[in-house]
Amino acid sequence: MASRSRQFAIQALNHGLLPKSPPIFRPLPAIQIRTKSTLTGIESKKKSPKITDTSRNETPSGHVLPQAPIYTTGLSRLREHYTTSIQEDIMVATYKHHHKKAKQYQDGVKIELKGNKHLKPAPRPSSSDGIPELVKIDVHCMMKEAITSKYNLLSGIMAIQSITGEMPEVIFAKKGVHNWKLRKGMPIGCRVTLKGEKMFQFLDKLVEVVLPKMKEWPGLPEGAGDGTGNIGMGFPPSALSLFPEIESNFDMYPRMTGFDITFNTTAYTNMDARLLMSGFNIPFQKSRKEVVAQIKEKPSGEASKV
Amino acid sequence: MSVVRRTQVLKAVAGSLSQTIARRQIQALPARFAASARSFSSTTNAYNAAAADAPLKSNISTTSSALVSSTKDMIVNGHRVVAGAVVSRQPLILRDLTPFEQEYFNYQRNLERKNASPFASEFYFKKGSIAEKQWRQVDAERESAGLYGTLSPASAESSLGQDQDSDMTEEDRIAALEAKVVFNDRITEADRKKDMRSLERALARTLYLIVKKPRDQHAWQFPQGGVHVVENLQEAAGRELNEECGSNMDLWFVGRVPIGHYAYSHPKGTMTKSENPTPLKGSKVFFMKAHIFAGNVQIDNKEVVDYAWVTKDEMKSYVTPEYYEAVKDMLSDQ
Repeated sequence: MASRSRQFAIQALNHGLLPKSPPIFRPLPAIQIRTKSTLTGIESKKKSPKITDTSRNETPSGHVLPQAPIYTTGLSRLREHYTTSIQEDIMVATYKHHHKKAKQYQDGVKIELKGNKHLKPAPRPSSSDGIPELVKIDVHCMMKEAITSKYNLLSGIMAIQSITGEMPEVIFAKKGVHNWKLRKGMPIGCRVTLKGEKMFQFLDKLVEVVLPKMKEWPGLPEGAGDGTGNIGMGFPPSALSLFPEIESNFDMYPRMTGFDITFNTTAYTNMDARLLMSGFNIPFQKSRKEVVAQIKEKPSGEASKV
Repeated sequence: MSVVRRTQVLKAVAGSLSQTIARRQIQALPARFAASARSFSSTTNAYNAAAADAPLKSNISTTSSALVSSTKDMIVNGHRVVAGAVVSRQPLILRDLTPFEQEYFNYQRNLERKNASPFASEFYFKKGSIAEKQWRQVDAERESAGLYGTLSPASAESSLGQDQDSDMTEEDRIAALEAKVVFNDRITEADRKKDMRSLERALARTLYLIVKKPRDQHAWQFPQGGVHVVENLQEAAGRELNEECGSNMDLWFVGRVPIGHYAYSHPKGTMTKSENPTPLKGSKVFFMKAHIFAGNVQIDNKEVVDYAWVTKDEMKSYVTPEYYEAVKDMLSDQ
């Protein structure tokens, strides 16, 4: 009974209070399983006894959730900023009144693209539905030291867990690499997927604390993005120690590891994704055109002052 | 919700623009982020004349070679083209929660804390160390202060006094007092004084700049002014702001497309210039969006006698109903 009323309460609240897009929020009972050991996480999930207690991570159909539920415990600073400022500004900045329709191909016509290109989604007309949105952030690390001893991976798992506040999922090698002495199925890395409030908290921390401390990092390159609205960035091992959680307990982590962060957005082009991320204050390098224009402008500007 | 309406506004604006402006010109503009008025094609004689001598960057084909001063107002189809500036100050603090939201977040916080994996204190703190003791104390304080959402604020206050441990020394207590974070008030001095000219007011809302012109009717409006034949809408809006409100503002124009549009006809007997043989039908105002980051307005009491930073709701009491009706959809509710 308790679980039913809780579900009802959550579903009833799903009118604007909660994140808009369905992938961020799942209206399910807010209960989770925590595995005892990080490395045995995958195995222990299979073994976990099926208890009909309401404090288990089960949907009414008995399906066990793979991921911890997302709690919305307060207003998120960056999400509010997104709704009050970024959304409107992107709408104005990217508005195109005349929409050029994508070329229609008949069924069975094979589209051949030159080189190593892939098919890109067709641009859509400007509308309030098409404003790009941040869906999730992936934090991922791969540790080569884990090949010699899988216990070396624990340090990386601990570090990623500390900076994200989520239990990472261990990644096993899909195939072996003979030169590295890597065999198929060995634990080689870990990954956390952040959504909802945790995602915005992590982004906030990254932008306000970590990135300003990275010396001589010029910002993301002007061509950042994978062409379908996702932006990735890599960090050296030294960047891990810039996170406040690790900075204060630096000695507790025997091995620092480099890691990657991927911002998943609903943008259709690199340009839109960069626009969105720069709205969240992620620094971008100036494009070559801008730099050239600045250099050209400078002498004339000085001359006019004199 | 408001974004949907804003899309409609943008569509209306662009539709209105394409009535007055030749279509093929504006088509190329958004790609370059330049809805420049200077790329008007030859729809009017006045513009044709101006195009030849003006220092234009865009490609305009014209056969006329008459000289026109660059300060001439742009007139299209008998309407004066006017650029308005919607200067906004974004919210500085998070909005107030409704009681319902407060309850909901409280409930979620409880759930989160209940279901969180236990904190590995033995990993971070050596057993029996000072750091561990301090952490336990802070945790207990947070628990009692209701930061985890377990207690109501009233009971938290009463328990906070009792919670001061007996083994806490006098020095610890002084250090705790010094380290205590003091929050600023959400209601500022400007709010209390009802100082409409201050940018420090209504921190949780979006503020918009409106100015008062020295006249009886239609006195309050967004800063606006006629577009010259050689400039685009954004340049015109920036120049007018500079003239009316001074240069002591750090502004950023969001895009080069207008966010709103307002057409009005002139009252008879006004605005008929001797240099203009055909009388004007009216004016069309295109609003450009800008953000203010620093500074404030400096008025010179000639063009503008007063100004105010108002929220959308407050604007209703300043401007005329028809003006409010025209601009309300491009303003933020929050």
